[in-house]
Amino acid sequence: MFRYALRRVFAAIPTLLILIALAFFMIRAAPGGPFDTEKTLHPEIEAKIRAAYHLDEPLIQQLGRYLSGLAQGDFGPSFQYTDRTVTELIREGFPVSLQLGACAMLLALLIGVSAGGWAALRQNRASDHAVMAASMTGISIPNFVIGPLLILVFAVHLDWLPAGGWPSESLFERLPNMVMPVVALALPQIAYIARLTRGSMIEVLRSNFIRMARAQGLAQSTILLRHALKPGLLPVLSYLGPATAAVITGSVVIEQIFGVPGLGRHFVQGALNRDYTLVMGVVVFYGILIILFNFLVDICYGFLDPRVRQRS
Amino acid sequence: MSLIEVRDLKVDFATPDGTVHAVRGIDFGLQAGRTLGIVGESGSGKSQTVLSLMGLLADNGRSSGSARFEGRELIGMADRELRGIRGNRIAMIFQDPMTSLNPYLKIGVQMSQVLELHEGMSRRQALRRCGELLEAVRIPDAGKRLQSWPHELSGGMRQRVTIATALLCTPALLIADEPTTALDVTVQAQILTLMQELRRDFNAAIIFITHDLGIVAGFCDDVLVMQDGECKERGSVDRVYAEPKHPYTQRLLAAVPRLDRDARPRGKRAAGAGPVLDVEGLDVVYSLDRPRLFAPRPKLQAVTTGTFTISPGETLGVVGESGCGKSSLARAVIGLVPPSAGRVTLLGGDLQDAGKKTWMAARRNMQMIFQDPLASLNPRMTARQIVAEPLGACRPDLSRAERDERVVRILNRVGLTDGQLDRYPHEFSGGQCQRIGIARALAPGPAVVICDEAVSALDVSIRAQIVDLLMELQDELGLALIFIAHDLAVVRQISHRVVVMYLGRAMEVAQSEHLYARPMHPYTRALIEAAPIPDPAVERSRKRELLEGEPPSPLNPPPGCAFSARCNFAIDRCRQETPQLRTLAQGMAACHRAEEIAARRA
Amino acid sequence: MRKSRVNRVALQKASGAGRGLWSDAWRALKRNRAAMSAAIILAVVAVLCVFGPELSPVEFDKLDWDYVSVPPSFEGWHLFGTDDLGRDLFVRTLVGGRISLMVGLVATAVSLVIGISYGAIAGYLGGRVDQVMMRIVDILYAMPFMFLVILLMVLFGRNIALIFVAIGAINWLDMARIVRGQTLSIKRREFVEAAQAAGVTTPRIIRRHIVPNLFGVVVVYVTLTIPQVILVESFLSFLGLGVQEPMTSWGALVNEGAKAMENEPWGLIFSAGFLAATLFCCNFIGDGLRDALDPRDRSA
Repeated sequence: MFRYALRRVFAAIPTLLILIALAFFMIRAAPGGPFDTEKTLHPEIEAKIRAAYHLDEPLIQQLGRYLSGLAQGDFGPSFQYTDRTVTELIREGFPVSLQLGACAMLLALLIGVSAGGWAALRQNRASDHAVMAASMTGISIPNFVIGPLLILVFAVHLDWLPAGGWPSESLFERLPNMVMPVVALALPQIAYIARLTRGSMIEVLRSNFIRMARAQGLAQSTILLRHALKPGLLPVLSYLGPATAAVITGSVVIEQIFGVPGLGRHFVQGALNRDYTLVMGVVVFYGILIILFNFLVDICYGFLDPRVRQRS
Repeated sequence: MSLIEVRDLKVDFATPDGTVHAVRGIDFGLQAGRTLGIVGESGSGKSQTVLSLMGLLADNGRSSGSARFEGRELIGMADRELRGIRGNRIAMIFQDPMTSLNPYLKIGVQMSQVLELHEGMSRRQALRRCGELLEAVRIPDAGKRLQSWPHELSGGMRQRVTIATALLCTPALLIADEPTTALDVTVQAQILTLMQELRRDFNAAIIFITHDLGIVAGFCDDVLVMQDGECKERGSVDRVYAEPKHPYTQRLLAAVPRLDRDARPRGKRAAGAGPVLDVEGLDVVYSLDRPRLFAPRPKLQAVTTGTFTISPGETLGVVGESGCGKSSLARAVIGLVPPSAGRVTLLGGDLQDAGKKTWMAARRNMQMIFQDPLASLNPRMTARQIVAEPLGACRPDLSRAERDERVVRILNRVGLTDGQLDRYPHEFSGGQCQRIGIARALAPGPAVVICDEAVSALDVSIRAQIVDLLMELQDELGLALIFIAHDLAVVRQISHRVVVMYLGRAMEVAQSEHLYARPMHPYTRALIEAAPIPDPAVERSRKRELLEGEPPSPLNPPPGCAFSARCNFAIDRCRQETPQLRTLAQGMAACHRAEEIAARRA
Repeated sequence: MRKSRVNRVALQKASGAGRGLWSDAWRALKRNRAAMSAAIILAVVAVLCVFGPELSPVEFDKLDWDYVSVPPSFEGWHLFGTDDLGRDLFVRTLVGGRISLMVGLVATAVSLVIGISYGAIAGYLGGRVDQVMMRIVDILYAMPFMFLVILLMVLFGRNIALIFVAIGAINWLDMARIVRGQTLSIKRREFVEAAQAAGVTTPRIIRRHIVPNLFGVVVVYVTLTIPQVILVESFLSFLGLGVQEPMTSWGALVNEGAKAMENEPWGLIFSAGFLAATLFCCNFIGDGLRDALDPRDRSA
């Protein structure tokens, strides 16, 4: 298993390098630059600033410089947030997004799997249709509608929860602020997971070994829990990898609506402001997370599926 | 007093297209310790009959009638009560051992859960009993196997596990639904013998469902012949086989080729003509995925020194169990997989270093018919388009009109009417699909046609028709046929000469009549002995020398003779020195002791 | 194995005699009431969006200071009310629908073309080519979707037509993966082998044997991609990067409506309703098609 892990890490390095280079050239290809402001800077001053950030060097050289910095864990200074390094910005934003995202994914997994499994068992009955229609709604309503709706109901009218903000004192104090963003983040995920679970469960329940288990006189609940659950959840697991990586790196919509200082806004604002280092930083960070989570999924597969385990 | 008494059993399925009557009123009774065979072709309702007894019909299925088992009515019994009977008083074995076991649970867990449920045993007691039963079904290292995963066992071993599981609670009735259909013939013989012994030891009644009349003859006391959900004939095996009353039974029995009867292939070998196809020393090696990065790719030697010739009008049969390389050989000859060594000469032209042009010409002269009638036809093309395609590819010399005319002519010849030409494959039956496949192969006007298990997927009666058609066409067109199959009886029916393959090597090559009467290779002998014959009297008097084990993995062949590990005649020399194919009095065999073995039968 | 094949042949024969695969699927779809109602609703929405604005007496961008932020009423025929500039929301919703539906269709078409060719080639050729092509897909997958969209927006400078193309050009990854998987399984079917044995050329095999058999998955996927793309467009509108005033889209309307939903809920309700209903219908049709094209559900 350890050798397998090591092999995977090595295999990921070229992927990551290509990813970085691709993102690097793409953002540089965009018109405009980080110092385009309302009033034009004096050319000399601008040249000086550009030199200070090494923007006057050839692109390849800049990429090399960026990579060597990256190898030492240095994402470089932000252009937009002067005096701040990208590392600091990620360090501040990520815990926020992680807390929200992890809670949302846990919630989604819990509700999605149970709803999907239940629907699979009662395939084509009313309860199945109800669950599926509900999950379809979850997918069909954009979360910038759900967010304000939640605020309107629970913050404005009922006054149960704060409308937004992120008190940084303690987790306990933050809990009420987290409820609505977590729910808004989780809703579409619940829907996807429920649909996925239902589909794969139905597939598994049709298989020969389930018929065999029924022929042995096992009760439906035993069949479901002991025989069907594990194979039925494998597709969910594959979905979970990239989805988790995406959710824990934050959503700009949720952050904007609920006033949460997460990581998501940097993806958008960084690109719009041509904050080269910041946007590269979050893109690389995201890429690493995706690769990491796909790797974790494969490891889990190995534990769950005896056939895969022996192959690796 | 019968153990189970079934009266007027009906099974209906509610489908969007209306109600399908799968079983239309079946009656039978079965006493303890007796065996009833239910035979029928696909779609006859034989499986649905027993599934309805177990309450295992699909959600849209409904059963009616009566089935009294040990004094209780099974039809309409509450699921809760039925669950106490399933796996306990009535146990069932299914067709496909590869998918019948849960791949995510260890063997021990899957077996012991039955005892924990029905007998209330503790896990430890249950496991002990499971170990005993695995021994009873002759699984080596039974105790260890409880800790194994299903994928670590071969098909035959898995079917033994499901049999052991079925017997755990000593059921009064055992239902076996095509339990040996997915297995090779030598493994089938092992499983059947095992079941015969267990029947004696456990004194269970058995309902044995199969499409194979040969198995019923050897295994069952009574037989019930089903067609379209109805019982056509019922009676003791001896009576039904000796004097079948119903025309359907008569037709069925007449259609089954028999290994013990003489068969005359119809094709006439062109006298004095040179070989149309000459294959020499063909090796097929597959490179598998690397198990680790930078590790060498494992090599799978599928065929070793495949050598044969075939003359116009001749049929060469190729038999062997699954994985013996017979399909790889065919694919290499026709160029679907590249051979790694050897030479293929077609009509005097060497194909090995041939450029694209020669290959195109070769394809015109060599065509293939595939196993699965439906899957080998593109579902989005009509019969006409399917047959026209190879013509367009390898007969650019013909004009469009000539091609169209030819397509119609050949489709008519294989038995399709003009009105059917523009239909899609799924609108045809399996037999008709195979006719289209034959037309496609014949359209370019080939000299050699390779039939890769071309009739294996068909029902007995359809199979007979297709075999007849092939022989007729061969006669008309002077085709050389390479007929690949796992069923010895069919091969005997059609072939002039037969090649027996095992683990990628030819074991024996001989004239058909010699091969069956006097096999020179122990493997050929074993294959013939293992094949069931649809005659109860013959079956009872047969002595079988069973082969042990299953074919080894071609990834890891034994040293010396590939067959030595399972051979009842193996001596030390066999395990050290690989025997080459030698020419003997009546053909060729790759066995050190071929003369002795040939003499035994004489 | 051998036997199960026979059974399948028999089943297909029993249930499919005399009908084409597609007419079979169509019949199954017609029986699916949810999918059929969804299709009808979608058709009504589409017809409304295409022809509605032409027939309406009011222009979608006409400011009417006498009717600022009025709730829905028959007076002055503001069925959906007006916005804070006095523009009629009924017409605006329909015009926005045009844009949103067009985004969905065009972007899906682009991703379809790229995805099918890419996936079918990778899957059919296999081996090294496949490995390299799929590695490229993996790398693109590891890029944040929003980052790519915004970059392309910046590059193409808010040209609405180019936005569609750009979204489609990013969205093909899933399509390519699905098509490749399907191609791999079709490639192993015997009819492809039969074509190879008959000497049919590779491009022709891909065109005649692989691609037509991909149709089922592709159709299903299309109905699921359209709503996805519409959502992306609405998300861009939320960020203020979508279509520019006075032109509008459902996303832009919903976004404006959400900002004022406490006092003028009609601004949100109708546009969000149209948007959600469309997405809902597309998803339902997709599910219905998937069931209809799944041969196992057709068994006896």
